[in-house]
Amino acid sequence: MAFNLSLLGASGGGAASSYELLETTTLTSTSSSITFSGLGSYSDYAHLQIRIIGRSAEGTGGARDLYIRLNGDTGNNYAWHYLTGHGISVFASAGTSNSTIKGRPAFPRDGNPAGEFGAAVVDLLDASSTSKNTTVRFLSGVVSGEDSIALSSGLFVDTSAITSIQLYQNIGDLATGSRASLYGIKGA
Amino acid sequence: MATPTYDLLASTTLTTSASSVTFSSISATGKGDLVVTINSLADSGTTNFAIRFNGTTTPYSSVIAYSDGSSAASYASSSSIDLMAFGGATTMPAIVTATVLDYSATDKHKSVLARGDRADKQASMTAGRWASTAAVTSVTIHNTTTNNYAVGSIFNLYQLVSE
Repeated sequence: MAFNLSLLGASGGGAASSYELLETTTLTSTSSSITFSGLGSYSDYAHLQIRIIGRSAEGTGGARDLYIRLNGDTGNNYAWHYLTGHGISVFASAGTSNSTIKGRPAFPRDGNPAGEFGAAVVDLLDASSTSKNTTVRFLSGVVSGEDSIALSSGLFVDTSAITSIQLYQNIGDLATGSRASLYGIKGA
Repeated sequence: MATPTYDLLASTTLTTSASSVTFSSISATGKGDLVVTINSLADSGTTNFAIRFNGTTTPYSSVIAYSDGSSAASYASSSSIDLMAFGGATTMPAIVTATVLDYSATDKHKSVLARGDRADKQASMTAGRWASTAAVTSVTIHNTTTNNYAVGSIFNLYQLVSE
């Protein structure tokens, strides 16, 4: 037996939302990164989430890894690790004292058929804390002939409140049409 | 200015067992993501969860990685998007959260990211792609085993606006 359900309609009004859209960037031209700055103005949200769908602007090489930097810091102040599968086997890796948080392939190269994109959902926990090093976690994946699914976490060894987050690829630019949305999750 | 989002579009708790659950009449004018959450038991044996869009059976592909408690593995499919490597059992529910990004875009294939868990069996993660630029107007959670989703299984559909 199949169960079919027509929609009830979106729930407007009523209780206040605890999950809110803050900003969206959709690239109208290629770009080396998508950066959300001025995050200090969102300090009333306990956590931040970024949902990104992207594609590489270049046709050479393989699928691109998702990299993340916080507060524009290019020093060796990051640690990361991930668990990943690529359709045949699984493996894990980690790094410390790195200049960025490294994820696994999330974006197909431009040589793939038009329309192919990869995606990631990134959580920044307690982003405005000034007493904790900042932790990031993300689920990312791409299905493009170079398949990858990965669960990653990153550490920014700095107790500063997060004021900006930069999302970029390990190689090259993000393509036109790549989109990232920033959401805030309220706490107590 | 913050925009309230994460709206519940539809919810069902099965009152009879079912082989699939379909959310239809999704507006193609909205922009953003869809999120499907599942908490499901099987009426016998085990089930699984394949996600399909707009009533189509092709072209889907996916990659899954999972752990069964003693080892980890990964496989790819060129014919389906399996939200978990295994599904729910009769007394052990499976829970799934699946995101469909940019569901109404007509210039993108539809990307899916999912996490699935069954406490006695596995933790899994999935990336999937529906190679179509059509806007998603219906979502079906399809069981490919001969068993059914049991009475009491819960399926929810949310929309996250991006503009």
